Formats: sequence, structure tokens, C-alpha cells
Amino acid sequence: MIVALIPGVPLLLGLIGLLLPPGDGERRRPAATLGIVGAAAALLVTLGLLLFAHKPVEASTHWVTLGSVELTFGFSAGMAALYVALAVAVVALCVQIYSVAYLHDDPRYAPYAAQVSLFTGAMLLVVTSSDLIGTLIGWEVMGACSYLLIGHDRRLPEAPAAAVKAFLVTRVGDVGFLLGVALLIVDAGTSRIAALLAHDYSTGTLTAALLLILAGVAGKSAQFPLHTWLPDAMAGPTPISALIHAATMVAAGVYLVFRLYPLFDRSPAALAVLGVMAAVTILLGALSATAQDDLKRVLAWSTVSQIGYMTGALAVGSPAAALFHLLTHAAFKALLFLAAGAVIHAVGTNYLSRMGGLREHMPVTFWSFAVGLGALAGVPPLAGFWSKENVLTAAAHATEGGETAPVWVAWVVWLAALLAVLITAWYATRLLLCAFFGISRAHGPDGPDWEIGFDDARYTAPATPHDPPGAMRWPILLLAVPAALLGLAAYAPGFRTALELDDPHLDVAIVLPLVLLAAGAGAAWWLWRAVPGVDPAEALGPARHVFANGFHLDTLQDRAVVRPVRALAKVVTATDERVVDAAVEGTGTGTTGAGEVLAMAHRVPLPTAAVAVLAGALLLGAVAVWFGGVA
Amino acid sequence: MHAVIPYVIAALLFALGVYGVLRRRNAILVLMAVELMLNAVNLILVAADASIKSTLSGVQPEAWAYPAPEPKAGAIFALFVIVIAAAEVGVGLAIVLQYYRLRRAVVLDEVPLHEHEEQEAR
Amino acid sequence: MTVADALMLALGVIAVGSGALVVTSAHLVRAGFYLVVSLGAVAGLYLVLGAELVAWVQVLVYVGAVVVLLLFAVMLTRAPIGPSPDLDRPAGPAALIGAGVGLGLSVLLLDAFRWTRYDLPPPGTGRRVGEQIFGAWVLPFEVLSILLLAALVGAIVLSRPDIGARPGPEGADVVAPPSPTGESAEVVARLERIAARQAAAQARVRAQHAAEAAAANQAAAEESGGEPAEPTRDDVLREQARNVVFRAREAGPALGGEDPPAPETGPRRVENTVGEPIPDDEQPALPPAPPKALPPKDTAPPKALPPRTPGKDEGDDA
Repeated sequence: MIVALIPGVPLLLGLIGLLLPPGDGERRRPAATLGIVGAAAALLVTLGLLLFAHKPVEASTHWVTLGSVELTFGFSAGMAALYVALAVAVVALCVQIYSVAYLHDDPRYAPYAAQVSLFTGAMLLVVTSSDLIGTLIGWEVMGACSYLLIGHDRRLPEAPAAAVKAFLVTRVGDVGFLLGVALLIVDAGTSRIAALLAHDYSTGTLTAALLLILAGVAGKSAQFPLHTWLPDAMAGPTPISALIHAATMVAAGVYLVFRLYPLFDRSPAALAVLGVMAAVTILLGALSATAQDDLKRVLAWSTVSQIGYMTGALAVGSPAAALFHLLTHAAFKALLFLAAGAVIHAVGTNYLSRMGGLREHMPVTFWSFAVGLGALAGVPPLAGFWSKENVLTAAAHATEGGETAPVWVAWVVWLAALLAVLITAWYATRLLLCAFFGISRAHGPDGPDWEIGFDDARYTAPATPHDPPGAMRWPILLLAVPAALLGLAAYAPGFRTALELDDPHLDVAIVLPLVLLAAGAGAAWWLWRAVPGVDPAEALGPARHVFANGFHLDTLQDRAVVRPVRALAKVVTATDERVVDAAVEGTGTGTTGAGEVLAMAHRVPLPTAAVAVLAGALLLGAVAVWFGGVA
Repeated sequence: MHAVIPYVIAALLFALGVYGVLRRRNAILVLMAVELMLNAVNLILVAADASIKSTLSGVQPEAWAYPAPEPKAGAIFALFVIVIAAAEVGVGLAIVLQYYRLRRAVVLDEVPLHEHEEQEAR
Repeated sequence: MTVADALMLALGVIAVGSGALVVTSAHLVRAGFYLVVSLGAVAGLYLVLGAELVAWVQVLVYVGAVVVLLLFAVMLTRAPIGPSPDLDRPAGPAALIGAGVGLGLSVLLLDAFRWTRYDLPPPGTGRRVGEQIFGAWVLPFEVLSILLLAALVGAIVLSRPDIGARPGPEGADVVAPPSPTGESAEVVARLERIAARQAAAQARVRAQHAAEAAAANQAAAEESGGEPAEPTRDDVLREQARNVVFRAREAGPALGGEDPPAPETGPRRVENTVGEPIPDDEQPALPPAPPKALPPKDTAPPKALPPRTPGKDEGDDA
């Protein structure tokens, strides 16, 4: 049952932390303690299991029987799951420590830390649950926590809207996810993942269920076309971006596909959809990242693109490559976001156009950033190189046929991935150059010309940017190690068997991506070199606007989905008010009116009343005669 | 004798009474018209007394009735109606006179029926 | 067509004709007399139909009592002797409903009886009716007597406003204007006191006006100085006019008024007719009340008035 501690401790401490009163000063301490202890406990348990457990750890108990469906409440941690849990726990711990310093002036730190704990626990629940219902619970808790955390800074004008958008867009996918899970469970009669994987589904049911689950995966992992929430989620605090992007939320979808991969392996249609989705996402994210001016949005779009690599690897039949890339991506993306947070903390703005020249003032941050970007672009021997190489190899291998996915899907994924290597190198170089090289654009000629923070914590940017304080620096440095070296773990046999990874073999196939990488980086550097201090993205010309807006997919969604739904809601409201309500109220007013008329009739003068009575008597007599047939 | 003659006379008298009740504004004249209607009913009772002999034969008398009522009870009913009419006129005229004292008028159209409500509303 | 038929037809024509006049006549009194004729004709019909007792009761009760009562009511409500133009309201609905009722009933009865012959019943006797009433119909008879009693009591209660009268907005109208002759000694005393007070107030106002006028005259004389003759003449004329006016007012009815502040300085205790002391704040100085300011029908001499208490006086003034 020790495996239950991995999600259990952060969840419990997060729930306790929600009870803490928000406040500044001394009151932050218990909240910070709870958050860090939760993440650290999860990390320790995971590490212990990794070191001392030699076979998958399982624990489950019967929970409830719904009709013919047995629901269990169980945990299982294979080696792969433990590695993912390790990544989650490490990132969560770094984020918790980092947040203590990053949110030093935020009075609502206590609920924030508790929510981060909850978020981490939910992700760990998704990772370790051996039961689809448990996965579903963790999945939903993550959705709720992401809403709370993205909208944490309520004073930002875009934060609440971004939170609502993230919640709604992922919710659209979650509806499909819920239906798919229900389909799988009902058909198999159990919710245990092991039993589900062994169950023999008919092709139609399986394809339908997997496509529905893919909708949920697309929502959570920010795959086309449900990726639009992710760049907007940058409105949340930077550590939250690190948490969401690196290890938790976006990884959940990939991990779920990995977990259910035996089922996907039986359905070429689902894999084809996944592959096309991945290819589109890779290119879309990479191209959109090229033109962003917001540091965090560059990273966000790069996340979209990298998640596309993972799903692409899954589509071409290599879940091991996907998981490997997930782990390395968790390391370098967390590093990048935390370092970006340090940059933002120092400069006081998100905009690349206002940075520059930071290299001398923030060497630690610069080198960490450089390592992260190198890993992102796939510079050997950094982590990203090995994992991306694995993905490319798997895709190239799949183009020869023999995998479940159709060959054309493998071609699409492979070409998209190769092209994205070029683009990734380009925008990574651009990011590094714009932020850290050249002259400083952080200040106007008269010193700092913008202020940081809000009413109660406003300060001007320091004249000289400097490296962040220790609580922020150490997590960055800690994460720089796996970002640089995790790729070499592919040579470690234990790690390889855990992930079922192939032996790394460097052959001539790696030349093509390296050439593309050099071309991309060189192009960016050459543009920068030609006109120093000018954003290389200027060279994109008119396409820049399209890229910067993410191919206007937001507008498209607004036109195609949001507005029709709003119009429909208005129609429904109007129907409710004018028809249903009006019918009820009309009955009331009508009755009152009729009562008024009757009251008036009761107040008529005597003679009129007499006329009415006698006329009524005459009429009754006439009716009686008519129907009685007397006359 | 042809019974239809008093019957039709009674019907016409009744119609005149109805007309008078509806037409007249003066309360006393309305009372007079009511008398006409009552007399029409009386006439019908008496005419029925004279014309319908056999209708009531064979009807079991009530236990309290001794001697058993004869079929020809129309005249008695006419007497009762006359008594009731006298009572009605007495009370009706008292009301009219009282109203006249209060309002100096006996016009039915102007009798305020919802004066009480208006006072409460004020 | 028998003699009875002919009689009934003739009487019916009379009854219906005079009935029509009852409901159309523009004279209130004439309507009453037409009603007599109509009811009499109906009584004749009863006779023809063999209901003698009913016929005589009809004549006695209806013609003799009810109609007379109605005519009394006509007189008591001060009905005009001539034709009244506003006796009727528009005839439309009344004629429609009346014609409908008459036509409907006539058709119904005509259809029911056709031209069937019946034997005329033997002339009834009071004995048969009496046996029936006090035998078979004794219970309805008793109930009817109770009804008559109730109507009697009701009529009395209705025409006596002092029985069960409630104080209300109508109360003042219901109570006839009080006449001092019929009132109790207490009420007379109250009225007399009010009149005396009013007279005193009037006298005081007069004195004040005279003082003001005199002061004004004097001031005018002092101002003009050189020509005192013409203002003097004017003053004389003014004085005469004032006298005329005030005498006229004296002779007129004593009207109530609020007491103006008394300019007097003397002891504010005035002996009333019985020597009753009156509280200062409530009763200003009162010169001897002129007897003509008293209510004209005051029969009780002032000295016979009973003593009163000040509290009572306050209540009266209010």
C-alpha cells in the first residue's frame, strides 16, 4: 500500500493547506512547509520504490459494484510509472521551493501552495492509479486545480478569462474522455486497467472509445484543435506554467495514451488520427513559437510542439520514445520556465522586445536557459537530443511499414518532426539571442519606465538585473542537471528496460536532424548578426502576424463555436423568459385580470345586476326549452 | 272554462312585472312591479287549483299532515304568497324610507354599493 | 266560450292593461292607483276561478293594505304630484327581457294547455280552506307567522335609527337635528353655555375694534392737526356705519368663533349665572351674556341651570 502514499500525501497535505488562512509574513510558513513536505514525501517514496522495488508494486481494494460493473480503487506502479512519478515529484518540489521566493509578495500564497499540492497529487494519482476511475478522478481534479491556479492572479485582466478558457476547452475534451472511459468500462465490465487491456473489444467499440479518449487527451495535452487554452494559460504565475507544461497536466494525456497503448495498438484508425493530430500540432506549435514576443508564450507554443512529438511517437508505435521524450521534456521545460520566471522577476516584463543584454548580469540564469534551450532544440549531448532522436528514429522506422499505424501517417509524422527540428532550432536561437544578447532594452533613456506588480506590491524594476535569490536559483540549477544529462540515461540498462527503450545507436540517420538543427540555429544567428539588436522574427514578414496569433485559430474558434453557442444560449434564455416564464406569469396576471373583471361585475349598480339576473333566467329557460324539446 | 286564459293573463302580468322591475328607477315603483309579478304567480296557483285536479291524486300524504292534503291546495299557497308579499312590502318600504332619510333619494341607480370599500381604501 | 271565459277575458284585459299602465305611467301616484285596479281585476279572476277566500284576502291585504302602504311611502318620500321625467331608464334591455319572458311563458302555457275545457270548480268555502290550513298546512302556516313577526320587527328596527345605530360617518346624518325643547336639562345647559361664550367673544371683538378705531382717529387728528373738521365728519359717518354693521351682526345668529386673546387686565373670574368659578386658562373674561344670544327656544331660565364641572365644560367645547 506504500504506493498509495505517492499521490496520497500531496493530496492530503493540499486539502489541509486549503484550510490555512491566507496572509503574509509568518502565516506563509506553514503553507510553504505543507507544500514542500508534500512534494518531498512523494519524491522520497518514489525514489525508495525505484531503488528497492524490483517488480511492479500493486495495491488495490474493491470499492463498489455498480450493476454488473466492478469498480476497484487501486494503485500500481511499474517502473515506467515510477519514473514519470519521479519527474512529477521533482518538478513539483522545485516549483514549490521556487514559488516561496517567486510569490514573496502575494498574500494569497497559502491557497496557492495548497492548490499546487493538490495538482501534483492529482497528477500522481493519474500516474499511479491502476484503475480508470482513479485516473478519471485525478484527471478532473487536475482540471479544477488548473482553473484555480491559472486564475490565481485575479488582478491581471486576462487571468480570469484564461482560466475560464482553459477550463472550458479541456472540459470539451473531457466530455469525450468520460464517454470513452465509460464505453471501455461498460464493455469490459471492470475498471481495472490491466483487465481492460486484456479484454477483447470489437473493432467498432474500440475505435469509438479510443477516439473519444483522444478528444480528452487533445484537451489535456493541448493538441490541435484543443490547444488554444495553453498559450493563454501563461496568465498564471510562472511556476504554475512550469508545473502545467513540464510534468503534470499536458503530460497526463500522453501518459494516458501510453498507459492504454495496448488498446491503441489494436486500432489503426485511432493511431492515424493521433498521428495526424501530432503532425499538425508539431508544426503549428513550432511555427507559432517563432513569432511570439512574449517569452512565456514562446515556451508555451514550444510545449505544444514538443507534446506533438510525444503523441507522434505514440502514433508511430513507439511509446517508449514518447515516454522518454516526456521525461526529458519535463526536465528541460521545467528548467526553461523557472529560468524564464527568474528573467521576468528581474526584468519585470514578459516581452522579449524589452529584454536583451541580460547575459552579463544573470550568468546563472543565462547558462541554465542556454542548457534548456539546447535540450529543447536537440543539441547533442543534451537531453532533448537523445529523446528527439528516438522519436525520429521510430518515425523513420515506421515509414518502412510493419507498425500498426498506416505508413503514410508515419511519413507525415516523420516529415513534420524533421521540419520542426529546423524551426525549433531557429526559435530557440532567436529566444536566446533576443533575451540575453545585444544591448539592454529593459529601460528607457531615463531609467525604468514601467512598474512591476500591482497596487499593494508595486516596485520599479531594479536598474541592474541580477540572478534570482537562492530559493529560486537552486531549483533552476537542480533542474539543469537532468536537462543536460538525462539523455545519457538511455545508456543505463535499468532505465532502458524500465521504459522498454531500444539501445541507442548513433548511425548516419542522425546527420539529417543535426544538419537541420545547424541550419535553423545558423539562420537565426545570421539574421541577428546581419542586423544586431533586431528581432530575427522580423524576417518572417507578413507571416509573422499569422504565426503570432497562432494561425488565428482562436478567432476561428470564436467564430465557429463560441459565438454560435452564445447565440444559442441567448435564444434559450429568451425562450425561457418570454415563453416559459411568460406563460407562468401570464397565468397569474390573467387570473388577476379575470378576478378584477369579476369584482367589477360584482360592483355593478343594482339595476344592471337585476337585468343580468333576469336575462340569465330567460336564457336558461330558453336553453332548457331548446334542449328539452318542450316546445 | 278554458284554463289557458288565466294562465296567459298570468304570463303577461309576470312579463309586465319583469319589465317594470328592469325599467323603473324609483324604488317604490320597482316594489309595485314586484307586486305585479307576485300576483301573476298567485293567479297561476289559483288557476292550477281550478284546472289540474288529478295530478296530485294518489300522492301519499306526509306523516305529519292530518287531515291528508287535498289536491286542491293552490288557493292555500296563494294565501301564503300573499302573506309573504305583505311582509316583503313592509320590510322593503322600511328600507326605502330609511334610505330616503339618509340620501333624500329613492333612485336605485345611485345606490353606492361599494362605498364601504372606498372608505377602507382611503 | 262560456260566460266564465268571457268574464276572465274581460278581467284579464283590465288587469293586463292597468298593469301595463303601472309600469309605464309617468305619475308615481297614478301608478299606485293603476295597481289597485290591476290587483282588483286579479281578485275578480280569483272569484271566477272559485277561490273566494283568496279573492277577498287579495282585496283586503293587497288593495287595502299593501297599496295603501305603497302610497304612504310615495308621500313620505315627497314624490311630486305631476309627472316625473326621470322615473325610467332606457327601455331597451327591459323591453327585450320582458317581452322574452312574456312570450316564452305564454308559448309554454299555450302549448301545455291548448284550448282544453275544464269544469269550473264549485265555489269554494272558507271551511274547506280553513280545514286545510290548520290541518295539513299548519306547519307552513306557523313558519309564515314567524316570518311575519320577523318582518314586523325588522321594519321597526329599520325605521328607528336609534336602535342599534353604530357611530360612523352616517351617524351624524341619521340623528335628527336636536331640538332644545326636547332635550335634557344637561344638553340645554351645554347649549346655553356655548351661546354665552360666543356672545362674550363677539362683544370682546367689538370692544377691540372700537378701541383700535379710536386710537386711529386720534393719531390721524394729531397728524393732520390743522383741519380736524372733515376727518371728524368722516369719523362720525364711519362710527355710524360700524354701529349699523355690528347691530346687524348682533341681531343675526350667534356664530361660534375662536376666542381672540383678551385685552382685559381685570380679574379673570366672572360670575356666571349660577356663580360657578371657571378656570382661568379656559374661560376668558365674560361680560354679562345678552339674553338674545341664547338659542331662541330656550325655555329653561338660566338660573335653573344645574351646576357643572369644569371637566364637563372642556368636553363640551371640544
